[in-house]
Amino acid sequence: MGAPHVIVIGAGSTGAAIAHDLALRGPRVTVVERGGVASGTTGHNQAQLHSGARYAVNDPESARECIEENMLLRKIMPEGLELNDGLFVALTEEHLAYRPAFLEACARCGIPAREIPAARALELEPRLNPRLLAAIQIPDGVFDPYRFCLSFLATAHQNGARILTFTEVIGIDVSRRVVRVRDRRSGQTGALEADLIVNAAGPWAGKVAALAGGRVEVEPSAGAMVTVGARMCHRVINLLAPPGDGDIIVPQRQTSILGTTSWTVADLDHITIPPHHLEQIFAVAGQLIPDVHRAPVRGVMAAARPLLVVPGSGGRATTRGFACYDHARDGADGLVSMVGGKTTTARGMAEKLSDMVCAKLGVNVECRTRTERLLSYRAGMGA
Amino acid sequence: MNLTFTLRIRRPQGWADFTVTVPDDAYVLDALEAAERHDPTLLFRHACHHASCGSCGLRVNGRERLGCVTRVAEVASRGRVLKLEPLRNLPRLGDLLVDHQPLFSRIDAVDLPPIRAAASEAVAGPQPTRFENCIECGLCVSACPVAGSDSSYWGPAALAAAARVAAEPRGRDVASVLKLVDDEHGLWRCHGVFECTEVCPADVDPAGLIMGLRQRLLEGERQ
Amino acid sequence: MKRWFDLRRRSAGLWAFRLHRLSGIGLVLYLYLHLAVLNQLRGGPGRWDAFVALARSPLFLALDVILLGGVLIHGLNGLRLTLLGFGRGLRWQKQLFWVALTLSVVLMGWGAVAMFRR
Repeated sequence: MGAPHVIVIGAGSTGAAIAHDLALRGPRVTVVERGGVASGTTGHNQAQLHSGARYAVNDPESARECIEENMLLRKIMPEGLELNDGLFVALTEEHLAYRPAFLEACARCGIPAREIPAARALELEPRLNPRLLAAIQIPDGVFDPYRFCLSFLATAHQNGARILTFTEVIGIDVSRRVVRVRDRRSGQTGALEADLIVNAAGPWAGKVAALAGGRVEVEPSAGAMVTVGARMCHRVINLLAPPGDGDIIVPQRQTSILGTTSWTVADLDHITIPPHHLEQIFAVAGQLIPDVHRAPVRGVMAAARPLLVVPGSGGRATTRGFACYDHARDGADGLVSMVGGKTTTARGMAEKLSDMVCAKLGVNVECRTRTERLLSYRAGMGA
Repeated sequence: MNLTFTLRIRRPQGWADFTVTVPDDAYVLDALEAAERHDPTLLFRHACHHASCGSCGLRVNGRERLGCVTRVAEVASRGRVLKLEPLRNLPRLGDLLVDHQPLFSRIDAVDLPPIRAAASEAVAGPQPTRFENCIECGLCVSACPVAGSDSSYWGPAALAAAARVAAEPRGRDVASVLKLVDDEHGLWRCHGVFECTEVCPADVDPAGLIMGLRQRLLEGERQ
Repeated sequence: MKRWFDLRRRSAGLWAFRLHRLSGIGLVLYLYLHLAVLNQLRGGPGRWDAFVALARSPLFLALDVILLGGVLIHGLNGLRLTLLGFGRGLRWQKQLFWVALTLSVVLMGWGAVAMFRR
């Protein structure tokens, strides 16, 4: 008897982090992904390494997860992040009124938040709106979503995981723990046998679970983003207000990513952006950094977020937390699903899921991903 | 306003035509996704959709571009044919899919730090950092005629990376990196065509960096 | 190798590369031709005179003009490449090519006139 075999469906941040965690603990891992790495939600990401401050007031549990994972990622992928902190900027009296609640919530969630004088903020970020009234510095950062996934996958591969991209799941026989796949490059179909199947398909998690006769509810909430061809700031700039549309500017390389918005979509695979969304993004981002109006538009993108459905809520109030489901509860024993979350917390999500997987498989090994340095994303994953 | 045109894609079995209709501000990648709706077996790579991952590189009407930031209106018009082919000089995996790993491995060999100092207009504060310009998209490798005829050539991206290591070491062993590329298949194999700099979507200027590094090596020898 | 002659809209640098290759190969072929011609000397003065008569024909002179063009473009572009290879003038690499090409054409024209006038 060799090590148990786990199939992970999805090579976005969730699947990549799970593959890494499990590969370190012993199971043989095979990742199957119908497209390229990060071709789903993770790729179309605003790339913000959250400090959690954005969620501190409305969703403190998410906020705590964020700051913890933020600090851990700095240790395990030190060269995979732009680490220049972030600012929450107040432009109106209303924003100033939000400040005490914001600071208090950050303190409660363990997020280091420091108010700095407006003048100082302008010295640090000359392109900020000169009318700004206050600024609070928090440890935001920026990652590269594609390379984030490649790092986790390269490390998993070095520890024995097999990564199969352009390999589509066409059926799951959960009672026999068999996943039927089509290799899109050759057109050939085949069957992979496993001891357990992990559904990490993001917003497609519902579809994948259904293949196995299981049920998972994911709210397909899409968000649009605009990238302009100029680096307008070094810090992530946020509006000091309850989370709203277009209120974040994320610098990345020599560009700035403005976002984001939110609307429900029916077809996850082909998302069209409603016309006024881009105007809304520019309207708000332009208040934070007026120069965005003069910067050339480099790209426009939208993707569906895999939001966890909490009964009775909807839209932005839906928690950005995550959950692990063991489908033994709905008659599809052999499948476990990871739903919700964000790239910032991928490692932590993977830890919880891998704990569940290892418990089910009788693998008695502790998680090591908090301390294990990741390989360079260039190291390769054999795919 | 919509645009209707023919996407002519070079697949392993030959050219395949797809008639697609997209909004007039759509990108080539959007057109590919529309074509994929007709034929889900169409293979292409995409991730970030904003020119930072480097995975969507391809040849549009013979010229190396990133599909995610190339507007269809710029390269095709009503009724015309838009030709799409995979990048050259990298192993082809199918349709528009190529394997970037040889490029990643060469850049890994010169150990380019992924992070660099960011130029700043700030009047105060710590030195900001950001990701390196190079997004390892392979457009330069595809456009280089030398890479086309010599597979041992290090290629513009890796040599530009070496030049960056020499310029901003961040703790790397510059001498050993220079030894690696100071080679007939490295720095000296470049013929000064400058196509790499022409097609680079990320301001890397590989040709300029290669020539600059040559100058540095030659002047170093004189000492 | 056929990619060198990829006839799609490309930039000055690639055209310079192509012309340099073409003229380089041409000059090598010419070298062999030249040696073969010099070999004629072994045939004595009669053989040489016959060759000189041929060399004065308009066709031959035209080929000489092309040869001159090849030498000029290869030499002037060669100077450009040398400069660039030392890391100098990188910002003007395209302009340097156009200057080299223009100069080659002008001097080639001048040479053609001089040769045919005789």
